Amino acid sequence: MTNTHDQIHSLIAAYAIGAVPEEEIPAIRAHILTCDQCFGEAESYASSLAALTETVEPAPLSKDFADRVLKEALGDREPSAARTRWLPRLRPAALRAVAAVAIVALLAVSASYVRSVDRGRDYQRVLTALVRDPNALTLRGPGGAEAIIASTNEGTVLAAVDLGEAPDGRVYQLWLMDDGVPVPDITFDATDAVVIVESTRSLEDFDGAAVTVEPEGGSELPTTNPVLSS
Amino acid sequence: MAYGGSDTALIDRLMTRDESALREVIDLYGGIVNGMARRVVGDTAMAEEVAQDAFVTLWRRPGAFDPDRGSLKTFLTTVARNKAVDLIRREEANKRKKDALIEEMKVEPATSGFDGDADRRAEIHDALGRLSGVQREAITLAYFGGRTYREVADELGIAEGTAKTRLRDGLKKLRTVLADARDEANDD
Repeated sequence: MTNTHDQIHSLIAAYAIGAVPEEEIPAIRAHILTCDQCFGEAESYASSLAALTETVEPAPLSKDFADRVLKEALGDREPSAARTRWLPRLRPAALRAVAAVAIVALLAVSASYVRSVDRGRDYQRVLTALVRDPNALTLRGPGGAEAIIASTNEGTVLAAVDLGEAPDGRVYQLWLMDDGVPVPDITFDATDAVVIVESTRSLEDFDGAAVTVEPEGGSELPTTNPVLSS
Repeated sequence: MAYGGSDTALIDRLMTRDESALREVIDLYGGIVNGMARRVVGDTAMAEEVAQDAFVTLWRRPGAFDPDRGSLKTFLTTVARNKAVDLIRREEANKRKKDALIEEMKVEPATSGFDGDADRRAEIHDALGRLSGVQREAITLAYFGGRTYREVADELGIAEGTAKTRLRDGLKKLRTVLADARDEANDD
């Protein structure tokens, strides 16, 4: 047992209940990724935390509440049926806009990096490490691959499991969705069962994410259908 | 454990940008989400803004809900709690007073409710009653009051280590009491 473990272990309950100052969270997340004991303890509080939410009594809402939510949700966008979800349905103008920002976007992720996690390490641990972000997105793929993407203090982290190595000469590429339009992000490969990819871009600015297989170096626009999408 | 198929069906419809699905989610969980927001921020108008934000977030990112990690109701109330806490942490003056928060936790839940969850609330209220007063106080300040463990320590005049211990022991006790209650119910 190291001092670091002991110090962080004493914070796990406070972390689980959301009572750790923001600046202390990254160290805890990183530790949970490698520590079975702290991972298990964080998981063990789930029922207590769910119970706390159940102590709350409903409070009546204004009559026009749902209308106000819909108005804000839709904003000045087109009706839902016209919203796009992936490349084949993207608007040409949107594609041109993506191309215009693509170079800037690729430069912006220069501080991103990829870290592999040992095969066999529990994916649930990754989920727990990220569970403090209520806006974390789950990505799923047709082949059973799965990933979660969440905010960090520095940007965004993607943890993918069972993605498998990219085909020869190709890489995976992360796309962040801006109103249905894919914005290019980091490229990576998945040599282990679980791979962690970090981007400096803030997930808060996007409404979804996807991963495609692309030529080495990445693409400015997706050239294949997603292997993972939210 | 995966939760209700109806949650998953609603999320699937939200994924296809079905606005009627969002209205259904609001009908089902709007009251409880607003209740959570009001518990944390205290103010009626501010609470509705938080609740609104929670549902807009769900609309923008329905994929954030994972049925393997809990019910949609728990997910939405947790989102509302976290958004409300973010709000009050930005403005110290918005934080509710310790005494008001603690008194509210002592209030007996209504024995009947229009949401059909009154029995469950009573069960959890009893479980919280089995915690020591200082454990309940620390948990209430942290969860509903948005205090960090450092602030809990400062506000209660205790060491930070003691605040962390009270949170940990309180959450463990609550887990044990709820598990025992469930076992007893299964034996009956």
